[in-house]
Amino acid sequence: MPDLRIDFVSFAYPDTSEYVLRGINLIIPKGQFVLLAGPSGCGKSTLALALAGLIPTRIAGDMEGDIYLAEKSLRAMEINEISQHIGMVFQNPDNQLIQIDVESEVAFGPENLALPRAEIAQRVEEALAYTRMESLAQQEIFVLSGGQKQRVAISATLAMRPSILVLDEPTSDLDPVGTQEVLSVLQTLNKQYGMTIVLVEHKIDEVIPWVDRVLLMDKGRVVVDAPPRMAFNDIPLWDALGVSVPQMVRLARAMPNVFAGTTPLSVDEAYDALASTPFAQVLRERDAEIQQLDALTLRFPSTIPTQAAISWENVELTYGTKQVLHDLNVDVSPEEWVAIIGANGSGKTSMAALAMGFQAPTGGSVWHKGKPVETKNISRQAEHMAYLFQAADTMLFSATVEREFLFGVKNRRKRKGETLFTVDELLETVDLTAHRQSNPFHLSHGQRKRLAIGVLLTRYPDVLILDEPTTGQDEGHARAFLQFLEQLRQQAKFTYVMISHDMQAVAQYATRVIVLHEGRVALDGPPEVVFAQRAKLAASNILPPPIAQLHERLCDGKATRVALDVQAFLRTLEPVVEVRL
Amino acid sequence: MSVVNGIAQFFLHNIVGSTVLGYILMFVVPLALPGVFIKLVGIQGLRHLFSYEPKASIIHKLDPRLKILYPLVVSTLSVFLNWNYVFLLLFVTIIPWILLRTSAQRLRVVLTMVLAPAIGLIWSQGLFYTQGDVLHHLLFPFPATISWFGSPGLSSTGLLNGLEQAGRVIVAASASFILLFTTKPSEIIWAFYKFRLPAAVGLAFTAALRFVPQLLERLSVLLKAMQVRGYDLTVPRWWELREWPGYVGRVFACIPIVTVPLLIDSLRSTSVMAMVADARAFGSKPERTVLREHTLTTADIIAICALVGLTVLVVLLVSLHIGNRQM
Repeated sequence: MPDLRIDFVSFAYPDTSEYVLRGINLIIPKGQFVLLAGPSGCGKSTLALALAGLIPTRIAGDMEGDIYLAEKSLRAMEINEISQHIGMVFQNPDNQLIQIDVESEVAFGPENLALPRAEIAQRVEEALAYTRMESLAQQEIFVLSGGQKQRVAISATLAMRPSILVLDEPTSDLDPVGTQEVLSVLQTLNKQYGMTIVLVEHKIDEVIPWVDRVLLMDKGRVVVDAPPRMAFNDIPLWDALGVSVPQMVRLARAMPNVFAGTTPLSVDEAYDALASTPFAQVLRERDAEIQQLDALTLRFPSTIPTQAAISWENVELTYGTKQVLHDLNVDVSPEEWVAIIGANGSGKTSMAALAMGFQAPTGGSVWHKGKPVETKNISRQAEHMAYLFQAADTMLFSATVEREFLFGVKNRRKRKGETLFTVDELLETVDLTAHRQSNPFHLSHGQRKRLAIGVLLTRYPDVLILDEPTTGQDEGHARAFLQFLEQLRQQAKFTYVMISHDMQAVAQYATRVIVLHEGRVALDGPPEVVFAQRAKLAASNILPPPIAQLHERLCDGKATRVALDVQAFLRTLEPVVEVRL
Repeated sequence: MSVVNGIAQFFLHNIVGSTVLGYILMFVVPLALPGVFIKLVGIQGLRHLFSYEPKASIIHKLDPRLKILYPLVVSTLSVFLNWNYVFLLLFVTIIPWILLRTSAQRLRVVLTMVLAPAIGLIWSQGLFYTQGDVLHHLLFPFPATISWFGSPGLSSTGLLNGLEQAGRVIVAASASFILLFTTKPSEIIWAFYKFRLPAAVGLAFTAALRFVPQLLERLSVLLKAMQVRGYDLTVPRWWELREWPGYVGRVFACIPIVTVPLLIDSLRSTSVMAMVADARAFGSKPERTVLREHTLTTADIIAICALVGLTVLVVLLVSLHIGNRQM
């Protein structure tokens, strides 16, 4: 297995003068697991495409320098030759699968190489075994889950027998279960079969425990190139670029005396370092105090009944023979930020779709402020409720930002005694006044998301349903967007219902978390309480943020409330530890 | 009886009545068909229409080459046959459907997709067929008030001609959907290869098959997004006549709005798929091998015999001037 050598590579897309890659110079030895991180637009996807030989052969542009596999330049090789050494897996599994069933998909490459049938069969078997998909070989692809589809895409790439695998955000369209499936497959490929892996990924907390090398990119250059335990020596740099730093690393840096210069990468490592210290004792004592306080407040409940913003009453939803929601009873109060979490297929999206009136429940009813939700009249329902789609791009149709707003204004009906936002006010709210005449597709991802929210506000809704608002964004942009949503909520007194797989976003912003498991509410409460229930969460395939896991374990699994971020964790320990933030 | 006569008199001979009837004849079909189509098929239905339906039927197991030939042969035969024999042929094409036992949902979609254009064809031919002695076969001549429409009226020869053409359309569609529903893309690529056609043709065909459901999925999200943004696409009830023109107008107006994002999105995903096909060495070798080679079974032989028998029968009928096309 040869090394991959990147020799002063620079690249600019056609018709732009700005270089996306600037003099990248790296050697990736065989068998190394490389994590490629960086903010959106830093050039990491471009570098991945170049490593797989798709730049410049398939995506034209101005490329300087060269990439060598052993001593052979990728430029001198045909793409089908390169793919037998370097395999590429893309973000969206649906776009990279050509066939209908798993076996045909994996066999497609070897068939094109005109290999003997016995060898094709052997390669298919082997490639499916790598990703543990053997039992689904005869399955149709469209019935598979996202994680399984991505595993098929990896198998199909492996059937070309590459020794290097390049993956461009392979988990960003997947739920936590799918993410774990794919990442554990990558771990096996690297550790067990010695394959070289270059992984572009935002979910740094999940992969950091088993990568060998971390590359941080900014503006087309590699700014950090270090083993994982050294990579975060300059945390302010990572923060400035808006790339997430593992919570355990942040914790270790804030408690230098405890960790004595070591860098834990996983909850296990941090637990080992803290378990035998007095800090664990402090956490347990604090929790006992909280329990006593809770007992007091329970005796004097202070809840004043208010009219729910949305309620699902005895809701049942069935597709054919499949029951998606079972006797669901949930009330969302005004001004709450409710996060609905759960694995794919647990009924989250259905619950939101019922609230928006995309479909009618097969049993029970859904209410908005005491009025039944009008199903099949979405435009009418949209006067009370807005729905931010996961792909905000699908919500934008017009040639300029201003016309996007006018589209909504044109299609609204004024209700009695109501003042509506003007276009100027809305532009101000979403901070796009300067882009009034810009084409929405020339805006950045975050700006487009804000624009999508802005155009929804032309309808003057009071409830916003947010479907995965942070997907596909780097840490910095995701947090900025959530912060914007939080300000908006406080300003305009909105109620949010958010579907999310981003547990750190849920922990930081939601006022209440509802865990769905197989169409039933498994847990419901404030995030610090819900994230303390490790066993129940595990049964629902949810992994709390690392710091919450650590807190729960240090309290021997008996914590009633857990810290949701590193600062909160340190505050709990405050009198004991000298906090360095 | 006299009341009925009176109504008939009004609509057929009174200038006002016949104008009203003329307008109804002109517009009911073109306005109702899209409505029926949306109601019975919808976007979800279209997804079913262009996708493989996994099933363990005997039709699924047949040689894919045979399934590609079948619609070609049957359509060709229908061109040479006179219309009444075309309808006999239509009965023959129902046999595979019976063997397939497709789901009721798909059946509804197929029937709508096949019958809606057929009805449209009969209607348009009925009004606009101008060959031969149409003027002497007018069932309902249009009054002078709607001469602007350019049709002399509803003619029996036109309707008959429409029916004949419709038979051929239905036969071809019925046979083609068998191919679409029961053949996997990998089998289609294999069959194209065996026919010595360029493999790229097979890939284009299968890419389209995989692509259509995704395209429709995106379209459904886009339409939802438009409605969330206040664009009213709620279907009015059939009696809310005043709402319908506005609804139809909005449906047409949304076509250009959704087309651009749909195209951009589709182009993006096809570019990834193209890169993947290249990376999987597609087209890199003149030869191609396959993992699953189809071997002829008894069912295949029976099906081939049936198709050959059918062809011979048609050739006989035509050469004996029994069932050949009169016009």
